[in-house]
Amino acid sequence: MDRVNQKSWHDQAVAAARAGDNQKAFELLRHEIVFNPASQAATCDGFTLCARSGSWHASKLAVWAIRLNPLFVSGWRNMLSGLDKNKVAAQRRAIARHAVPLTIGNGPDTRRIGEVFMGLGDFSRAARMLSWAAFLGPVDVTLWFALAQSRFQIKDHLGALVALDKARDAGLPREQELFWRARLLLATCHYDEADAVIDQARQTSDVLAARCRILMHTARISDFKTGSKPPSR
Amino acid sequence: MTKEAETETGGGSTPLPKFDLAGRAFYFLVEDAGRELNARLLMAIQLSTRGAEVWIGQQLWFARNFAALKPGIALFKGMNMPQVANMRAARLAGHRTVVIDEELFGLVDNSGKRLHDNRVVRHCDLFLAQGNNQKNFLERDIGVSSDRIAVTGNPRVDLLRAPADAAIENVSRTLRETMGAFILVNTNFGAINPHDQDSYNYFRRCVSIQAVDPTDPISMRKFHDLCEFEARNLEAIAHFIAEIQDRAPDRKIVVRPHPAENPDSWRDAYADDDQVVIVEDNRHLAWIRAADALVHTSCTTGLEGYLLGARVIGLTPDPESEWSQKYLSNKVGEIHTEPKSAARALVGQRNAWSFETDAIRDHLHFQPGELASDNVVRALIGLSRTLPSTREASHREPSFQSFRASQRQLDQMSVTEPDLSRRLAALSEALGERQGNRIETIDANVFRISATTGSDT
Repeated sequence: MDRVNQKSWHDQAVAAARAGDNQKAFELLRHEIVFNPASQAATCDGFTLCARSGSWHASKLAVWAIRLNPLFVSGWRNMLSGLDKNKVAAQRRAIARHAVPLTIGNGPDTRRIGEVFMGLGDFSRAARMLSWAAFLGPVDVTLWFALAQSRFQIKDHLGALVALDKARDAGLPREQELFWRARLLLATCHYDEADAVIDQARQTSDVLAARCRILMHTARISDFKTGSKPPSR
Repeated sequence: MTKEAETETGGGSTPLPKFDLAGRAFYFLVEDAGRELNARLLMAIQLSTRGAEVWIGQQLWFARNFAALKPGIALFKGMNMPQVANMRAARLAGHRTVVIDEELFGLVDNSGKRLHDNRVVRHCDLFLAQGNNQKNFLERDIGVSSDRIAVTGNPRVDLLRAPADAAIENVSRTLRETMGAFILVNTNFGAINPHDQDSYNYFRRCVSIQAVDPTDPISMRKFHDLCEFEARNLEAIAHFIAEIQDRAPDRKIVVRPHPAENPDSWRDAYADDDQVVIVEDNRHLAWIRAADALVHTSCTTGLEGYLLGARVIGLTPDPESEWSQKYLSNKVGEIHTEPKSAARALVGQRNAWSFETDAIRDHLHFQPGELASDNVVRALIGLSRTLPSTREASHREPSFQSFRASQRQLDQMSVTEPDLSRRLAALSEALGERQGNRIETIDANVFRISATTGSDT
């Protein structure tokens, strides 16, 4: 495959991907990277276009490019930082999923992908990535709190409680901690303790009092059967 | 307009004439198979018999692949913000868009504007109204011109009446043999017992689809009213079950939580109770038919049960409340405000069942001998004429984008090819349709249905 009309393989690849021909785009980008390995833009564009269209080439391209030149990671990182600007959720999701291989072994990158999944409401993947990020470090209060929230959403209540305790120890604002602890206690049917926490939370601020009012609508086991007792979860 | 065309687009109970739809594609987007799939299959049978190909499946798969599909007619199930966003995507890819609002089936007041994104006027070509009430609402409150509205009724009603109701019979007979006699309790507590754990998550979901505006005190008041309404209904159901257990300890009670609910709450509450069985099964019509009676608290299944000819008891502890007044199911069947009186009526003699449609006539269009699915098919065929005729393949290579459904989405829409084939065969038989159908699996929970040709058989 040659350059045509002085257009780079990169330019042609972008045009091909825009026309929906991911296979051709991938082949052209592979040529561009082989012959011009310093082109981070080519790799990132190729990855973005392939990932956005849901093509499996994206993952292949990512792994291949990193093997070719580990420095490409900085380019990916820039792209991931700007991911929130992409307004199409399906494209954000596709890019994040295909970028997972890029993050292996790197705490901040893993965390970034976890946060993207979190924003997309994909809590299973978010919890997995954030757990890895916490393992790899560095860890701060935001990471522990995000981990607590994602674990709560996938009903890993014990894991969420551990992460919430860590977040509290790392300086999570009191009102956030109270609200999420109340949710966890309600979800695990510890109603007396939940009520005590909610009482505290209500007094913390008007915003939290309004949230607690919504939370308190949640039905309890005793509401489903007259005279029943809550099970231990 | 040709005479044939006039017959196709006209209303009434005239049988649909043969009209060649070869090369035309219809896309039926499904959110909840238990609710919508069989009704869509009724229409798929009609359309495929005329040579069209009908794609049916997970709505979000279509949302990702409109650009790769040949321009056709895309049928949506609602008019809220996510649905309208997908309509826009379909229109941009050259499709025509149609909506039949499944959320409104069973509602009296069209839910105000809570279920409607005003941009639907821009992005939807044709509105299928379930009755005159909805038509007036669409014209007056949403601003849809009358020439874009067809009053068709809802094909879900067809499944409850002869001849299509025969398709339910086999399943309900099996349930009856397995379960014996039972009282069915269909619950409806998606706000206070949501599948995603707590009312706060439910609230966040409402906000995300713009059904609740957290900055608007009226919208927030309505949200709290809904939760309190559900709490009163839950209390009534719990007392009703206790009353039945007191009065008839040998009567089995089957509780079928709404798909939007967390069934674990029910299981936990009745874990040690042999008289109460919790089932999660989306064949809700078969369960209703198999039951001695259906008890509900403002649930659409109350209306469906009534149209199916089942004994239906509505428990409405607060009959004058705004939320009680919203549901058509509270206008049909036996209505009780006290759990005790409902239990007494149920355990005692059966009331003579009478079918009165006056209370719901304006809300739900149906005529004896007329199928709503025929009306919908007429409207879809009429709209399909505005598309350029082509006999090209219905999709353009390269391949489609796959859609990986969440567990929640799979719970709602998960169907295998053999299951679809069984459903299609049962409905074809009930309708007396002899033309066979070929089903191709396109992706997980996405299928293409076309009539079999000589070489297929």
